[in-house]
Amino acid sequence: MHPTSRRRVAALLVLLAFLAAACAQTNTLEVSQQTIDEELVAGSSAGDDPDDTTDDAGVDASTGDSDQSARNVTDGGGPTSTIGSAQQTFEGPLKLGVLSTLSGGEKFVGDPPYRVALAYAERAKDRGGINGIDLEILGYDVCTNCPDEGLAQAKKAVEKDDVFALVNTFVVNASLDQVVPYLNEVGVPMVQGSSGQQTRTPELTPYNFSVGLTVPNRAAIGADFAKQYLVEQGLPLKVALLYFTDSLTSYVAEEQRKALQRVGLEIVDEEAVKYDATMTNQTGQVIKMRSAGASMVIGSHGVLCAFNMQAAQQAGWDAPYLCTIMYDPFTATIAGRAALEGRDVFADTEGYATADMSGPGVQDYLDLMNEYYPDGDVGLITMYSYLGMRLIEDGIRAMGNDVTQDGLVHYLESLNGYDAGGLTAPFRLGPDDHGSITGGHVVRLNPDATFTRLTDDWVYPSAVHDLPGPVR
Amino acid sequence: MNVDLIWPFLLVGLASGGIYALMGCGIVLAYRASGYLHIAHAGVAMVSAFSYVVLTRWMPVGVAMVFGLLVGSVISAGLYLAVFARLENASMAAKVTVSVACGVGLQAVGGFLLVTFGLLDGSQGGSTSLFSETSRYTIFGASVNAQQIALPLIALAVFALLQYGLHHTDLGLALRASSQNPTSAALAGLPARAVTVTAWAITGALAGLVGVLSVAATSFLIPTYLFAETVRGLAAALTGAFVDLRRTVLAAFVLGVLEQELVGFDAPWNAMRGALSFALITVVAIFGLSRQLDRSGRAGAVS
Repeated sequence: MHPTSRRRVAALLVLLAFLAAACAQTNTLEVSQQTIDEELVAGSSAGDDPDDTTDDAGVDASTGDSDQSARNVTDGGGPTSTIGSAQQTFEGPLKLGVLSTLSGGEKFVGDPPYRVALAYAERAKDRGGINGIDLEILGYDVCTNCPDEGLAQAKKAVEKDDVFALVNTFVVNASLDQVVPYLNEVGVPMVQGSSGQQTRTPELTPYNFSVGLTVPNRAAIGADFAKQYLVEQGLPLKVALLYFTDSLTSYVAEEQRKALQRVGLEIVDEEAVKYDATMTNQTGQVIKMRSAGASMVIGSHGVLCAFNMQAAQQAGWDAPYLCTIMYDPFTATIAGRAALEGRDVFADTEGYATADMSGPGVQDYLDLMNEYYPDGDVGLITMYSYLGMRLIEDGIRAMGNDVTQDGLVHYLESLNGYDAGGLTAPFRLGPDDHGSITGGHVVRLNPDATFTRLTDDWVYPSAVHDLPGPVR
Repeated sequence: MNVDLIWPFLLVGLASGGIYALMGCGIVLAYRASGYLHIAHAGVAMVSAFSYVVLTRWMPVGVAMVFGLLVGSVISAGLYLAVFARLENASMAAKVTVSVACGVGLQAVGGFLLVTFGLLDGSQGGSTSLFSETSRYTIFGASVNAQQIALPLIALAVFALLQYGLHHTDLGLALRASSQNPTSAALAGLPARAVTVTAWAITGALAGLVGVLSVAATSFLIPTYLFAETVRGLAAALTGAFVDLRRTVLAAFVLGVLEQELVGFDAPWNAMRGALSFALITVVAIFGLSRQLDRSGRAGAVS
């Protein structure tokens, strides 16, 4: 081959390699979908979880929809299970869709919920299915703040893939504003993690459930603890409020503002930061908060706080921080050890167990992680994901052979004092509240990315903490 | 807005401006050398930074810094030779598309480095910083760290060096001649290809310098690292019509300072600084300050 031709071929190969890499990075690329093959095993009791705690919750099986379109899925001669709803019939194993960020730079956040769902489904299959029914997990790649993409993927999940429900979608929460009304329209349930205000009006979101600590509750816990801490330390009752400008964290900040004012803390500075690359450099924000005389920084998002603490460390400001949406070791990774050393950093646990808690639910979660997702992080993101899948499983078990979407909704709305086996404080879901967890505790974030529990579970509303009125 | 904060914000803004200026200078050099809008510049800086962080595990930061700059040079020159030089006669749209593709490809390389060398685990900045992160200095009442002092000074020094090199060295003269009229330069016996490759290598070294210097500012490394700074460098370069280094550097510092001063405003206006560079690009486009920008990208000289 002529040298010039060889160079051209080499150049072409390099170009193709880059283009291939480019394609691999695009957010519109759908990730591989793992199918857990349908394998109905006779005797659904073989798959019963000995730690199952759903019986106390109860469910009115009669409310499950068993209409004409319901389908018998005993192709393999297994037990009779009816899967369907008023809207559509489901083929094969029960499909669950996970909308999450599964490619690109934020994959490290979005992949764990998907991987937990896969792990949960694989374990269920190994145990003979849930009432003999296998789960098929379908992943849909959605960037963290792409509402159009979220809606397109949700439509694909529902209209093309016939998913039974969506689960573990919390990473792309900001992309779900159009998805929630769509799911309501088509009657497909969604079990999220934290969901902002999307579940605050159940009458508008009848198919949307959260397994996260409600925003007013986390704001109340944070404000109460902040005041207690500042009084104990003899510091001025002045704080700075730090928040992202997106709808979710703005809502969190709004509730934090109300809670801080309620307990008598003065907000001497507010820093709104856009969720883009500029958040990594918050030197100016730190200068401003410091000059305003803030004794403590109250943050609405862990990632934001992590970068702010970096700037504070570089500025030599050792102010304490209390942030929500921060109960995950990854926050410490972002902030870096130096930013955490010599500084008091607190977080609410978003209602979930810290490392020092125990119980069958915690153990079951840890067993799942150890056996089916050993390279995953034990932390809030995977805990959310576990509980989302667990509620789906419990719902299927409670419905018996009459598995319908409306049946799942009715099951979830029937939960009262749900015992997650130590994973969370007992919680309720009802027709009037799809926001679930209303209690949690405060932890200290240590420089080695571990957490130390500082309080008991503070469950709201309660007279002790004077949170006015019901949660919603 | 608290007027007492204008001065401290100015100092912090100059540090940011230094980064933008270095980015802008690299983009201008690449454009004038070959007519490429070097969007992949961010990727070169990011890979250089990651390489630097990895290398500091085995060698002193000073040596790692040299290798970091070398990585940037090799990547940039390699990209030019392997990809961009083959598309000299392509349309600007095609060149931009390929440049974006290269940038995304470099992000994949960065992702590979992150995973392979565990760069996401734990703090990276503390042990890899070129600057002391504990020393504080007071300038007329405003407290700054060593990095914030060094960044604008380094940027100005690099700018002066580039200006001198372009106007008072054979290489600089050759680059200016080649960029103005490559055919005539070649007929005059100038090694146009070698000059262009050298310019791209310098561009890469500038990206590497940004990568190395900026690692101290943050310990959190992701594949889109330095992308935002590159966008600001592009905005600054646009104000200089991708030709004028002086205007590029000036715009970069103005942009950096304005961004920081915006933080001084009350919420939610203090969240608007990210939009400033895009506003600058829009203003430049509307008022035609980039009219010097020719279609081929080869005419004119670096000034």
